[in-house]
Amino acid sequence: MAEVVVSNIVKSFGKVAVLKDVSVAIADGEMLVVLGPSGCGKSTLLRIIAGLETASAGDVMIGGRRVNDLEPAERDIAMVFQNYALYPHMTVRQNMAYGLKNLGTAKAVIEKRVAEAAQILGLAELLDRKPRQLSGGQRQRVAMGRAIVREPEAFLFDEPLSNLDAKLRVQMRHEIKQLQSRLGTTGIFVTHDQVEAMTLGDRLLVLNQGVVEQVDTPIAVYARPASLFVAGFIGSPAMNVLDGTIDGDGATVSCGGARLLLEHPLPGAGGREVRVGIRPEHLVAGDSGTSPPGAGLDAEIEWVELLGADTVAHGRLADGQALALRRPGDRPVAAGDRFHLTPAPAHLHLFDPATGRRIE
Amino acid sequence: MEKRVVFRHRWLPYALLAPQLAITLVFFIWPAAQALWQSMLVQDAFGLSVRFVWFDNFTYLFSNREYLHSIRVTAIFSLGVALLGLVVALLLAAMADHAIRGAVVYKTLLIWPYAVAPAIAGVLWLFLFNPSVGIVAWWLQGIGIDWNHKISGNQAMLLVIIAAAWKQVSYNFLFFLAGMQAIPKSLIEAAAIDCAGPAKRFFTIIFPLLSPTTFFLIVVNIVYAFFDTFGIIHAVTRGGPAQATNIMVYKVFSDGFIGLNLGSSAAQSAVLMAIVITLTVIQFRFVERRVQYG
Repeated sequence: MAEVVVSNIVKSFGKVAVLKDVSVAIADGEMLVVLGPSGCGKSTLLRIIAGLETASAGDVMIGGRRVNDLEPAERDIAMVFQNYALYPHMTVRQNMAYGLKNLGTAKAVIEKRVAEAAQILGLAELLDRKPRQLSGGQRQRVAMGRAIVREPEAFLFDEPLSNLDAKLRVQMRHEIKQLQSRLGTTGIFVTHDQVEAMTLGDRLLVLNQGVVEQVDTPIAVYARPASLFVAGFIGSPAMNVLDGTIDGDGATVSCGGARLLLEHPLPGAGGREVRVGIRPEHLVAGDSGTSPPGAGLDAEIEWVELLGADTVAHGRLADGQALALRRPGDRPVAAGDRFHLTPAPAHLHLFDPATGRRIE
Repeated sequence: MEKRVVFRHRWLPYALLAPQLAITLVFFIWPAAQALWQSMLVQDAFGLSVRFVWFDNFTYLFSNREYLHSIRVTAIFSLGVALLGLVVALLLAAMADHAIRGAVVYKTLLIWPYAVAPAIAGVLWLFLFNPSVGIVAWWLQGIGIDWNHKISGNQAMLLVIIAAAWKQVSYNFLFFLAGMQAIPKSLIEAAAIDCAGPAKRFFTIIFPLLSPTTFFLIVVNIVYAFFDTFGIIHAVTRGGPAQATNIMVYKVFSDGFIGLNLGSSAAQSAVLMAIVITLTVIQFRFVERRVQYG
């Protein structure tokens, strides 16, 4: 169990820079989820921490030890692979014992640890089977077992749930979370699935094209996305992003034919062009009769997705900008309906159109 | 699901098969049957009379010291060829699997020896090891080894093993390389994290996963050493010196076509036939079982 610190990691394959100056410190016992679209460099980052790739620049520290020049085996980490990477010619027992055996651990200790891991993961009955005789979920557990018997400083997970079906994924997600917090081992979990990211992580690192967009708790990332990319990537359906201009007094923003009150006024920012982000679930329908004219967004619904629990209605503002709003499933919405939407000032997110960064 | 082609005419499938069947019949089945028949015949020294003797030729063979010697020579030769060919090919494949720069050139060059005819391969090695003009023989002399395969039976055996294995290395290499590339990379990475050094990784992960390939190649190599090395022996040693490299298939030729003992020669080919049938059965029975990855 140890702190893992990644500082100023740069990785280039030829001329292509995959990671551009990535730094993050993962506290002892913390679970950090690295989230990003495919090709963002998240797996490469994990593989650099594991020692399977060499960084072009930067340092990796595990438990205060600089591990850049150490072999994967010497870093005292365990990794769970996307395809589990179980040794097909070994039984479940041998798979789990392999790492310890290579370390020269005493036989009795190996047996004890394998038995414990099998107990925790419900594999006791399967110890003498070969991987090909196991189901996807069982293989996943064996891969976990192989990681925990090593009692490593850190667990590295490389999209371990993406090969499972939806139901099993929810269950394994829960199990991994429980296991990791019970063992108190530092964990780094790479995924492109935002639900996994939100539920598993103590903190989230959102990676986009090799650049860290934001590192924060899942709820903070949802509530205060640091950039347009994060705003669009976290949340489903994605956050609405509208063009707007800060009004002269800095207290409101003009957008889609409405003047929306800001939570924190921006004095002196009058006339500044901004992008206004509002989550579909925060577009609440107000009563057009009571609110002052121009205080809310007037939208006409064009098409509707009925998801059961929710209804996602896609519409347009008077000036033609598209937006989506989310309504409870029991409130009927139909194409052609008109809404007067008055989002709370706290739910407006302002972004700089040029840099995409959040404006505080 | 079973896939079955349905022909409209009853005779069409037979007509389509006929050319291949005719070739098989004329060039394989008929001569084989004739050999079996001949293996039970004895001819007098002048070729004037033929006598049917049942299995006398076989009983004679297995009590003949020269034939038993030939069996031993064949065993040494084929095991030597298989072992040398497999080990070298495995080594080369392991290196080719790691090579990044020039891997394609490297692989292509390694395949070339397979295209060389056995007799030519034999002559090539014969030149290299020629006691008077061969460059390898000269090098060996330099380090104090007196190389003369025309006198030393062991050296002759070594030479034909090297020549035969050299040709087979290409074939083995291709299979080993394909086998290694079929092993998911994440398995090797998992092993790297599980603390296994490169050598240990090779012997505990890669080599066991290659076992179906290895087994297949052992059988193929033994079949090759038994039956396809006539050209090499003929070009390099002609079975000599003093029968030291007279492997069974070469003895069939020398007893039959040089010694003109057709009955014994036919009996020897019948023995070889039995061996090749056994090897084929082993091949089909066991090689089909494959390891599954992942």
